[in-house]
Amino acid sequence: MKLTQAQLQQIRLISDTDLYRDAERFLTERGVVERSQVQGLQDFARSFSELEQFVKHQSERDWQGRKEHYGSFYKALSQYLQELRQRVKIRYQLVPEDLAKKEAKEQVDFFVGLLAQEFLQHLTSELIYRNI
Amino acid sequence: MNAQQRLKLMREVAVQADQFYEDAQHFGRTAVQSDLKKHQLKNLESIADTALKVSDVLDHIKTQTGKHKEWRQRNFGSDLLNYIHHQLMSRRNQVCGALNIPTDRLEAQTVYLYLIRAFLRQLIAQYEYAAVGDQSI
Repeated sequence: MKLTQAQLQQIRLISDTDLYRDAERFLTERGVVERSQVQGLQDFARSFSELEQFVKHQSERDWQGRKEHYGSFYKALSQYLQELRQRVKIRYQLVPEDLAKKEAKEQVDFFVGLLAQEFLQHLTSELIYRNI
Repeated sequence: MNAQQRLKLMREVAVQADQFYEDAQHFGRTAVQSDLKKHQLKNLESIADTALKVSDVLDHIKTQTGKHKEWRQRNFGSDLLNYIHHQLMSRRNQVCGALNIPTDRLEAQTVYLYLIRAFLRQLIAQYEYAAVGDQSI
């Protein structure tokens, strides 16, 4: 899908404002994980459906010991991705309302994937900053 | 934004940048004392010059601060992040206020990037000057 200049600019603004702050807040509230976990997430972020599946899989794993909080980290991430999906449709209005259902879903998936990549980039930088 | 509006914007940014001197001097000296290398700062400047998002610059500072001890010495990286977050954002708000630009608009993001670039240029100039002084001691 080819983005318009206006859509690109809107995504940059959303990234600089909401997503940047979300990433900082997310780590503060959910605790840090190993950097490799987020790098794994970035690999899957190229396809939003794969990212969702990966996050779901990780949230259902039996994390033990010092990684015990990883389960709640991934559950919260799964919820956050769903929230992003809602924002794409309602708050950010990135997808026209008059599209057919299938096309609308494809566009929502596309935009939420882009926003997820931006969010994960900020999350990775924040993790490195916190010196993991 | 037409040419006249852009000119006004650039003028307001320049007015703010004229007040960077002491802060840039402080960060330039701290960078020398923290053993930051010139290429590390030039790399930051290059990223800021080509960035389309403020967070590209902030993420780079965070990454460098996490990875390299010289960015952590004397809190250089953390202080620079805070400075961009607070002082430069406050100056962005002043420019936006003077030009009636809402701070959630693309133009405000552009102003912020211009201020960051102007500040980093001055910081590096101060760094280079301080580095010469440091060698001559």
